[in-house]
Amino acid sequence: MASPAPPTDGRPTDAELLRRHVDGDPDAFGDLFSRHRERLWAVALRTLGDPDNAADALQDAMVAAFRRAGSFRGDSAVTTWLHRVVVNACLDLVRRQRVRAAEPLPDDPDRGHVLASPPEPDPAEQLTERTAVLAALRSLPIEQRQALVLVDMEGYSVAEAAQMLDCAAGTVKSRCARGRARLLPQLEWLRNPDRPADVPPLDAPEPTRGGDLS
Amino acid sequence: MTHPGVEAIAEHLEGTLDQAEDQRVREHLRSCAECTDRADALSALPGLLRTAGEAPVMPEHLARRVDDAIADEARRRAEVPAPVAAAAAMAQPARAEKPAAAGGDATPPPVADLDVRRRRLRRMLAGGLLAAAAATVVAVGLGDMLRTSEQQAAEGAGSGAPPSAESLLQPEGRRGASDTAPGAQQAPSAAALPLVPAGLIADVAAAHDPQRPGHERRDCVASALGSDAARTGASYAVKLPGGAGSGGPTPGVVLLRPNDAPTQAVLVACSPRPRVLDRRGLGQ
Repeated sequence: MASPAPPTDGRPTDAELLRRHVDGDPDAFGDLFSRHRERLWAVALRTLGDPDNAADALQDAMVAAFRRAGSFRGDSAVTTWLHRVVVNACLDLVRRQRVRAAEPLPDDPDRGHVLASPPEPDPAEQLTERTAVLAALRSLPIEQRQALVLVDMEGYSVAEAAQMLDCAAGTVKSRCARGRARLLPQLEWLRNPDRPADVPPLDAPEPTRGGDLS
Repeated sequence: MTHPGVEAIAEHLEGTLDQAEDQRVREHLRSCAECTDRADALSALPGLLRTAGEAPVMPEHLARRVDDAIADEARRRAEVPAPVAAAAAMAQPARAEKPAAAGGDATPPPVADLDVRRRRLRRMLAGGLLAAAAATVVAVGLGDMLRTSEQQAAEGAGSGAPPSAESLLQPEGRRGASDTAPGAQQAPSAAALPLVPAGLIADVAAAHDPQRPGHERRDCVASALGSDAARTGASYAVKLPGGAGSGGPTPGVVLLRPNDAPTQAVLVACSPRPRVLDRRGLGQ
């Protein structure tokens, strides 16, 4: 069909698809989603850990984006905006589940300490490095997890992640640093298989630092 | 010597410590093998995460769930009435038969499953074909009173050769031999068509008096347009709502349905794809 502004490769740009959608084209949004589905899926899956939850969040996000497309002002890339909607949907889902289960907050220090114990390598389970990393990631507070999923796993720049997470770049860096610091004791046994897994490898005292950067 | 915490080392590596503390950690690392080892381990984490994070392709059944939710939203938004849905389903075959009129749209959809989804949608709407066949389909031409062709040419420039209203109506097989209209033989460009004024359908609804013997909706369309030149089978241009930057008007039709249908008039734009712009009950 005739496209008002055909890009060089003959395919409409993301922005063009979104505009068509806003103008009433019934297929444009589906096309846009198909184009970025796998990247958005990866973020939702790695943030939430569970495929069904990830699909739920992705569905919530795409319905919200479908309806709110008219408010997209183009001050970021369409993909960035889509990621932001997915990130928020994941956050909403985690909060809803938290309320439903009346669980202690994952960033509760007590609970954090419990979860920070390294997983016991069960020979029968053949705990792989991959599953260990993913399990450790799931033990992080959601904010740190999201930052690490976007920056370390999916390879977005800190600036992009900041837009997706709607926070300052410094906050993204700080969350990444704290998340990595929290992951390290859980994953150090991967580097030192001889060390008994149930003994926390780090005996350094908690640093005394002022100011919560996140 | 007090070792800095692992968090302080991580923040040092990320550059988020304040200057004094950053200096302290840097100096400590210079002389402490244990903490340097810890810093190396922290630096290796992003790579570890990258490798572990390689997500499998989204499972098909879950992807379908999201696709369906999007399709539901699209349906809800359009509130597609049967004749228009049928017209939309038929528009593509009609265009395939007239490649010249369709402007050479041979680009396949980028993703294969998209095609599947559309087929599914089309199958679902296939029931609408019957309703469409039973409907009286009237396209209204306006004649000469709305806009000069110069104005429209200025607005419609660059809109290309979208599928014509004729190609949308053709498969109906309902147009009589007398239903000729200017430009019916070729795909009319929007610039060559009269422009439909906003509020047409509301005007028609207001004008229609079912009590008057012989008073037909078609007459009301003509009177609402301020002209008695309404003809069946003609196309006209539709100014798309919210279409800033999208160019000018595109070809469209009004479909009128029989009195017993809940929705009796549908304003349809034919480009880039057939879609509903407005639907109203006419003449209660």
